[in-house]
Amino acid sequence: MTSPASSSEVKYLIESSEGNTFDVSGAALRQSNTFNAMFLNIGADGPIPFTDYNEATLKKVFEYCEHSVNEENYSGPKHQDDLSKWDLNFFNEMDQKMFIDVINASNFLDIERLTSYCCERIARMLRGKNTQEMIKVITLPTAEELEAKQKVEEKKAAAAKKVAEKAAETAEKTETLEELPVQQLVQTTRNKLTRKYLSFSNE
Amino acid sequence: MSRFPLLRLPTLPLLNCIQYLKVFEIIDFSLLSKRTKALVSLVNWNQPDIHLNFSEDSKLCLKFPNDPGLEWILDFESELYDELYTTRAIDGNQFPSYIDSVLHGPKAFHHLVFPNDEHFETMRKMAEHVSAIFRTPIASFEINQQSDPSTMSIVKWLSTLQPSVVDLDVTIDDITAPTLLCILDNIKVTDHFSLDSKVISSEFEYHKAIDIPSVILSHSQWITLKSILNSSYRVLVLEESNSTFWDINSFLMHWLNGSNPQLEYISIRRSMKGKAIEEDIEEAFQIITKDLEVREHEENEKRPMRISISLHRPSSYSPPNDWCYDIVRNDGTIGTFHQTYFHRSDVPDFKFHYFYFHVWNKNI
Repeated sequence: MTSPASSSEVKYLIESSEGNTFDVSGAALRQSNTFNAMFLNIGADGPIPFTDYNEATLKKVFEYCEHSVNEENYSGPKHQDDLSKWDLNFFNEMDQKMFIDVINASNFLDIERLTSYCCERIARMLRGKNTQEMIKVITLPTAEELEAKQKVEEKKAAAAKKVAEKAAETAEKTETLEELPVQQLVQTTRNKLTRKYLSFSNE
Repeated sequence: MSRFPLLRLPTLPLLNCIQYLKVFEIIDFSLLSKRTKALVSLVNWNQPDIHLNFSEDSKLCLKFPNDPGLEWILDFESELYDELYTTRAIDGNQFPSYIDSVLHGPKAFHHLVFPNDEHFETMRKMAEHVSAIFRTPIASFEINQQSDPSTMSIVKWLSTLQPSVVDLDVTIDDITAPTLLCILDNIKVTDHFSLDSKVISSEFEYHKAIDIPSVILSHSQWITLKSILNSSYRVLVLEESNSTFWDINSFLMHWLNGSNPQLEYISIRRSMKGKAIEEDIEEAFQIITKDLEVREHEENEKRPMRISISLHRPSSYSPPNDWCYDIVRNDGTIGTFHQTYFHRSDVPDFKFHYFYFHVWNKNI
């Protein structure tokens, strides 16, 4: 739902993962290419659900958008040294978790300027460092983590295969559905659906 | 501050971060793990020009088209002098290394220095790695003063790494025929080949076509007329050639009859003792121009006076403009030739004979 503030300033309601809603100006929202692609032409009937992100993160992202409303159109990355005092404060007051949440949200909303500044900030952590020094700054998945991840994936694949085989077996046994009791008919249909879903997922 | 979980970011911002790194940082980052290598190779890079030089102090040079004033050089030196080196991990092995930068006028050269090893193992690994992460084949390739087994090993490695190379430059004092054949048979060169080597076996002759646009051979006794006539050069420079005046005449006849339409320039230098070279330049002229319709060359402003040797690396020749003669093909293409003798003052009774042939068209 849009909430009319003035004829020149349209406001939109944004819904966060907590179910809370808050206002964002149309001018700020238009910095999001995702918003432009989804809602700009057709308008939003009710709050716009960005429910993968919490309220604090979304507010932080749109705080940046509101601030840069009057800046020139984004024309490529700016060096971190050329950022304004406001920009630097904006980044400096975030902790690591908030910073990562902001990058994720900014990436989803496709806000080029913010994403780009965040990325340059990360690149600065690696600047002038060799392999040994980089390892001290960033977390790399350990061999155990990679192995555990692979095991989980293998388990998932094996379980999916088992379900598919069982479903295929059941389907072979129940060729004439009319003759089956109702409960078994329901089960057979479920199995068929599972099989259909699995083959769809495999595609 | 705790470590930053960089690899948990979505792919697009992650690639965006990588693009902000400098070349050596990109290489270092890509060496961290298989995942970081794969990520770096996903970035849409401006393809660099990669040059590889195998010598005692080998080099792998990278130049990016968007930064022509910057050169990134991985040096592999036989001895590391700098004691302030740090270690870098390549494929789990630790190597001492250091970074150094030099300014030459408006150009900057950044060096990442590693120790060289006997069989260029580290250099080969890094060349494969750099070529993979920037998704760019090695463009130019140089082999300097390597033994025959080492040259063969390098050539075989390159031929399995990529199907062709733009520019190949080989400088070895003496090369055996099998090594030379190994180079000619295994490396497809798409622009320029230069061989500065004397073939050890004087009986060795090469009759097959060499399909490389630009070729410079410093000792070309092994290349036969048959090979020259069957090849399609744009530029051919033969020094210490065994070609005779009759061979040169055959070559001109062939060209007049429409062979080798790409040819722009050929120069032949014959160098022999005593009377092996015909003394009489008039007689030489008669043999070279036998059965050809020859006219004296008149200066023409449409004749280009610079000939690009290699299209990949800027280098050019100036063709001679005095005492020239023209032959003209049916399609209007002109072949301007010039020949001259030089006595070598340092070696008595020793002469050079030079023959130059420049192809051009005044309608172009």
